Amino acid sequence: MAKADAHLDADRPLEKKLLRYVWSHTRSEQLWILFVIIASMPTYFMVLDLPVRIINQPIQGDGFDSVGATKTFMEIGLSAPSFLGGGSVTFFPGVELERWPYLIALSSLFLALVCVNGLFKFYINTYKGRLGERMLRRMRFQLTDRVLRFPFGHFKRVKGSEIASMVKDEVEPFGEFIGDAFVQPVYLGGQALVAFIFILNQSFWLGMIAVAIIAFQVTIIPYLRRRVLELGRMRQLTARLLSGRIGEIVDGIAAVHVNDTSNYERAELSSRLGQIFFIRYELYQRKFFIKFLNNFLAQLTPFLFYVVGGYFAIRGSLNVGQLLGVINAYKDLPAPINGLIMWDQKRTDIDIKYAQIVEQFNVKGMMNAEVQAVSDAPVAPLQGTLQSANVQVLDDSGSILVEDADFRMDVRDRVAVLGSIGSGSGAMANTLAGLNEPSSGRLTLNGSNLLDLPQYVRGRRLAYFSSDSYLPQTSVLEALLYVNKHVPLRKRPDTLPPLDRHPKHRSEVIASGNMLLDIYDGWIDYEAMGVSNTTELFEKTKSILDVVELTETVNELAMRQQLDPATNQTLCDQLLDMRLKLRERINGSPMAKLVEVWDWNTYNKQATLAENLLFGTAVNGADLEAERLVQNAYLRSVLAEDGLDRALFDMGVELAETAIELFADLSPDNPFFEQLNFMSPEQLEAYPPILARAKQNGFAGVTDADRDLLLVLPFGYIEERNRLRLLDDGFADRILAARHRFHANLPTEMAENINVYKLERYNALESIQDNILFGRVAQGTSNASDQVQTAIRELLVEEGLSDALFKVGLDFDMGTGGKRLSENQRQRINLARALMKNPDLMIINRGLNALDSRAEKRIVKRVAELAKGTGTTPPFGLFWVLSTPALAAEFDKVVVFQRQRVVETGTPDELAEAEGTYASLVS
Amino acid sequence: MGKLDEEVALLRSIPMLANLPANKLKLLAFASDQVAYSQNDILFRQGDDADAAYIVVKGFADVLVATGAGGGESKVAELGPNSFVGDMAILGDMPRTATVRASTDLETLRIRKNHMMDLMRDTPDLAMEVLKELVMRLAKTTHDLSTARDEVARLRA
Repeated sequence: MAKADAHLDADRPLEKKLLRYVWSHTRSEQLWILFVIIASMPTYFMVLDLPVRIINQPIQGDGFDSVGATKTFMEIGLSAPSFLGGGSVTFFPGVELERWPYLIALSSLFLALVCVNGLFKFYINTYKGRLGERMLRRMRFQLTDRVLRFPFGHFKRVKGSEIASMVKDEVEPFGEFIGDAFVQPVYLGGQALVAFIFILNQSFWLGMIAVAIIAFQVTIIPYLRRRVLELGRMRQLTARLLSGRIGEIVDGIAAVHVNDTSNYERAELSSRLGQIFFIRYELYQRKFFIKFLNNFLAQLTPFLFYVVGGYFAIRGSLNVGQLLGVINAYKDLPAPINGLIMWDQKRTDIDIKYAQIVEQFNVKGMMNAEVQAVSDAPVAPLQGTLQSANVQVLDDSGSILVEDADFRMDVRDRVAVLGSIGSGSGAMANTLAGLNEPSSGRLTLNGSNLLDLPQYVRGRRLAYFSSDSYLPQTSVLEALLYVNKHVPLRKRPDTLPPLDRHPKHRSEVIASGNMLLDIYDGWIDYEAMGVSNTTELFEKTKSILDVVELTETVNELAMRQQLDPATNQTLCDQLLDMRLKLRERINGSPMAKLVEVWDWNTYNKQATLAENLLFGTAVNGADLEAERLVQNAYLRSVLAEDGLDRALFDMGVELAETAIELFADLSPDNPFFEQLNFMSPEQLEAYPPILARAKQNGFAGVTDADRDLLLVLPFGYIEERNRLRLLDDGFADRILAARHRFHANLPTEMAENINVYKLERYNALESIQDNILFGRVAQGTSNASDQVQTAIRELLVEEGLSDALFKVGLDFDMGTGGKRLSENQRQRINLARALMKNPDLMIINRGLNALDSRAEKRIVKRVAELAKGTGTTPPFGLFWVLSTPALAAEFDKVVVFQRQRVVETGTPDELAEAEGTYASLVS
Repeated sequence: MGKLDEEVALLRSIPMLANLPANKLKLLAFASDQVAYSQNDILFRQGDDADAAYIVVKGFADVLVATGAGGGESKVAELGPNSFVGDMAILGDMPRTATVRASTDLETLRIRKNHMMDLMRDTPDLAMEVLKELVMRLAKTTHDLSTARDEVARLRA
């Protein structure tokens, strides 16, 4: 494949006219389909022509005047219409048939032609569909390809959700249209022409009537359509803005809640939707009016045929068969004509839409495709001198971010950059990383422009992250490896199960100009990380997570994960084994009181009352969560047997009273609500009236809804946590008895939805930790949770399971934007993956400012030490914008920024003695 | 509601909290955690980030401060039942100024920082009480300091 051509093509702005765009990419396909359509025309003509012959000749007896008369069948030739002077050519003389066989022969031929005609249509439609889908695929790919090359500044102005809506929704109608772009007018035009010639052939004047009506249609419709097109454009823009707004609401949902602006948002949304509604409503009105007019005109023509044609037929200058033929042919005329009008309408509509999209994607200053060229050539490490000479950086509004920045460093120097936010330090780091472009001055590596380095060099040899670097939704491990996926290096091993892919997968990629690099191949660059296989990679990952102090976190994440025994049989068995060993170990030790184990005959005071009743975990969505559990008829009957429902109701009243007394005057976002485990702040508001009614009417008198709402409260009550002493031993025994009764006659469909606590069974619905513990950690003892976890950790190591568990932790899904991790954990992941890369220079724009200062200090020290190089890892340079100036002492060099300028450079010691800005910053 | 009321009574015995309205005290009791320590367990260490204050319910604890660079610690105070410890650090948003170690088995009530801060925002009386307490401690510290200075001057002379 000619790579250079592909680049040139990608670098050109997108074609502004859709038809030209389509033509340039699908010329040969369009020509082929045109050919097929033209080839289908004779059949189509014959399908029109035959009925007339069938009626006139065998049925009405035209030419069968005498008994035994015959007609020639299948005579194949061409004859010009009489008004062109007549004349004919014969290809096949045909066979002679009598009237009855002739009828059969003609009718059968008609049937055969109908079939052929249908097959033509089938082929043409499928071909067009594929053509359209290919173009759609190409267009979507090209658009996202351009997004990947937008200049950075552009992303300040566009909203992700608007781009997504353009790439996904707005191009969608193109797919249908592209297949029809050239084919439709030719096909329909051909059809119309054939029908038209046929009519003319039968009667010139009737034909002229049709011409007149069509001419009227063709002039009036475009005029009516102008406003429709304008509305279509408005519809597209408003819809795009809507998806942008919805994206903003989602991203800024916290601000909506803390500022109570949800109703403002609702009003705004409502007004937007109103706007869209009226645009669309007007669109419908106008569209259907045009349709009405079209239909009316289409029906006007037959009216004239009946009147005028009838007149001629009565006068005898037109035979009935001819009139029928004309009317029959006319039936086929409005459809293609309307189709043509529709096509033209769609074309203009889509042209406008297309122009709207193209405008958004033809961005000034887009990177050349060459910059992101695919390259699997080994990239030599960068070395030498990096120099910034009079570098000035402006932001998109023209204000100065960095001015006259002069400094030099060796690529492997460890440089600390100081300066408050806005001082130019961060902007300088971003410029080095290639995210800003200097407006003047030079940034050079060994004398040549640093920004000329293609991305495949920067991306492999430099690492960069800032404090808000985005993490997409992947597992922790994927996030760490992401930085080393530049190009597929190995074929997907045959040992893996084959991919379920379409056999034409590859040829279609080529046909739609997509990327041939295969996402399923081995992209991970082991060599760059200095490892040679997955085992070594795992060790490396562990050691780097140690550096950033995430090992504990990953272990904890593993502990909170759920495992499916069906897919992790061995590990689950091993964990079960561990459960028993942990039992043995802590029984009789002081730790025994830290865990309250599940026991069929004991009430677990560390667990909720509902957990105690169910004695198991309910499957998600099985309607056995507390709110639905109270309504469960079977459970209610079990409780009622002993009058427990009444006792729980009284308990609910007491809990509601306490909650209202303590929490009623607090705002819903008050941190105290974290402690209210049996009720949410929103629910609290509902309870005062319920409580009043409950006190007035008592257990028997309240409505079912009120009773359920009060019964649900004790279900979430944990005796040892809430400490309201509502559960004495007698009451606990009654619950226990209810547990036993509940399970004694448990209906099968409920039993299937509850994973009962059994010492010898791994519970897929509980976390790994809860499975190992098989109980709940006691509240109220210092560090109980820590002690228990330490014990588990020790046992895991002894059992040789810690690596397996660590892998489970690495598989943790970080959530959108990595939000299931805390900000400081995300920052550590960013640092960890920069380290995974083994870069020559690591550029960090603050990066660790969400960490507490001591952790930050430890990690910075460790990284600065690593940067010197160890026996196993090469040395690397650092350009670290620090938020804590004191840490600069760990570095070789310091660059101090103030008011967008470099004010001091030198070694930490030199600068400390100079008593300048640095000295004042660190003191 | 036995236990909660006992805890309310305990909280009321702390001068700083004594004048809080009953429902606020109850809320604080409800939201606080009961935490037990064995002898020699550490409640927190000097230099740790502060996230909670503690009220001693039962037992005793030592307040230790690091001396010099050698890593030695000297005991500066002993805490008995009803003493409030760790309050300075959660109010001032600063690291712990001392280590607290249980000298016997110890039962405490742990009050989280965000709860305490929130209560202060809601209850100006509490803020005033805290202010008073701090002023008193400052006065005591100033007094101690001047005595110590006099002592130093006397020894030098």
